[in-house]
Amino acid sequence: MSAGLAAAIEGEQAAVYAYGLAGPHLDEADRSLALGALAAHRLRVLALREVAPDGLEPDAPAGYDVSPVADAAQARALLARVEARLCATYADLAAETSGVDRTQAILSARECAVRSVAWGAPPEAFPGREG
Amino acid sequence: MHPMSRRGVLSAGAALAVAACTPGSGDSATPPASSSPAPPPDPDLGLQDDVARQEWDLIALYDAALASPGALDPAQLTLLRDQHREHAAALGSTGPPSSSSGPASSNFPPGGDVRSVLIDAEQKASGARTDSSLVARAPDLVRLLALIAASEAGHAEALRRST
Repeated sequence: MSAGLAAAIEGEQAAVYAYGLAGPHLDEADRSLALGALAAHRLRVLALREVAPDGLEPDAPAGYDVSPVADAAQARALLARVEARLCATYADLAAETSGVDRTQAILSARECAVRSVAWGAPPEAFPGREG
Repeated sequence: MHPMSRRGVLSAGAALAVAACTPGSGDSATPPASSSPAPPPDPDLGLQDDVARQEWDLIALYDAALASPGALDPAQLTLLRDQHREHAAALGSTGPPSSSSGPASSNFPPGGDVRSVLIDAEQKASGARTDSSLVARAPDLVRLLALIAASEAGHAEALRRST
């Protein structure tokens, strides 16, 4: 049961990853199907994790934040931190792109900063920048 | 790509900006990369000055809000104002421009909605930094403007959430 649940969570996460990988190559006609499926798999990740017993944590993919999350405060802190860090990553992306790609990177950075504050992080002068 | 080198580059860029904006620093402020005899003025410098001026206008707006009776949490207003000072400093400006005619306290008539004015100002500033980044040349300046745009979007969210 637990093993099956862990495998299902891993499978749903793998599906989310696969949709992100495959999506840009799909025909325009398939885009709405892919977006709907992506949203459904993300919802399943949340739903499965809600019924998973404590301690059942599939291995995180490389590069993922693996800080322990034991309560709501730690959950909010993790999300605030991930969003702030991604904000700085998008600022780096903006620096190496131009035109509409740069605009999109900065819009993404702004959205991450807003979500970081929404999760309880204090406002920062340079969100996510180390030091 | 490593955090250490990224921080180092940003610091170097900020230091260069400070040097370039210091009156009387002369040729020593010229970036060492330019070897031509008469390099054209760096368009990034004018851009930095413009954005810094706008940051000082925001600082004046927060000062007016702090002076407004019954306003928002002074600790929060002070925190946000000081982060705009950090923005200005990173752009090479450590004091308000002498020609600054920033918003006065008359912007906040009794009963006016201080919070809405500040949220609107932060959102406009965030959008303006995004626009400015499109004409910036140096990657360090683009990165800085992106972070400032994000910071100001976060300020607006913090103000929305304050009670």
